Amino acid sequence: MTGQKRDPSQQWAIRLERIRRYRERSNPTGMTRPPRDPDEREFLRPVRKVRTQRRRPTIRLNPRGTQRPRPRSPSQLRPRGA
Amino acid sequence: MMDDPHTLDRLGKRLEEVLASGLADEPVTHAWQVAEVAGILHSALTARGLTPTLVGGSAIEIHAPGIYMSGDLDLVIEGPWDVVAVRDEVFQALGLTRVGRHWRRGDLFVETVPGPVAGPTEEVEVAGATFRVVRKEVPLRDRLVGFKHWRHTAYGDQAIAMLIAFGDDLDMDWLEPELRREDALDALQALSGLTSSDVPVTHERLLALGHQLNQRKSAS
Repeated sequence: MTGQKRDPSQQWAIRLERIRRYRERSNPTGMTRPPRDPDEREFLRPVRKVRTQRRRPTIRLNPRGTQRPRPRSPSQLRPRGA
Repeated sequence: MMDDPHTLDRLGKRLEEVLASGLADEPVTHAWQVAEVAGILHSALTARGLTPTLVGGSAIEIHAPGIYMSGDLDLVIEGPWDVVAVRDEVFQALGLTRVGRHWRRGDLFVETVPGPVAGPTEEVEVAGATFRVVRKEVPLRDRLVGFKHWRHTAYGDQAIAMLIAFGDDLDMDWLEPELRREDALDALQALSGLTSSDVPVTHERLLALGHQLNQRKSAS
């Protein structure tokens, strides 16, 4: 269905007249459409930033109450001098 | 492939002229402006090897102004290489700036929609502006499907207006299998019934019709 260039505007007058007649009996009040419809331009409204309290990272403590030592890397586990 | 900065400069100036008095509220003037802008974007993007196609509400306007006036131009841009980088470069050269998911210049908003284009397209020429647009059956299918499955009554209203505007000039060989595949052929039949009668079309009537269609769906 692709091919030659057409000029759709040649049909506009007749289509507009048909639509005008239909609009006489249609009432758009209350009709629903997707919220992302771009002509609402919601995305331009400034968004109020809500400050949220950042949670402090949990520090795991060992039973003696001191910070758990970092796990050792394999090279550190290798016996010294091996 | 043409890649001339003067071409982009010239097109940017043309865009400025088209948008100088803002976008019109009157449907036909608005549709002319949409066509002009689509032509400018088509020239600029095809010069860089990309293929833009007008889809969505703007496509409805091109086929039949007065049904729906889109707040933005939805474009699917396809190309053999880094589409996003080339698009950004071209849009910036045309004086468009990024605002959220849109590109903006004055009253004009352009959104690039992920491809591929879901349906047949055609190259049209409106008042000297050449551009690619989805064929009219594509937005009609989308509105019928949206009316039935999402129950958007405005989509039902737009679908009726399109059916009335296009009359017999519809490619049913393409449309019917598409609607059957989307389980929305009954929406076409139901709304076609409202095109030939004189009954008022309201939100309540369309809501009830959408409900009936979906009851049949769940019963079968």
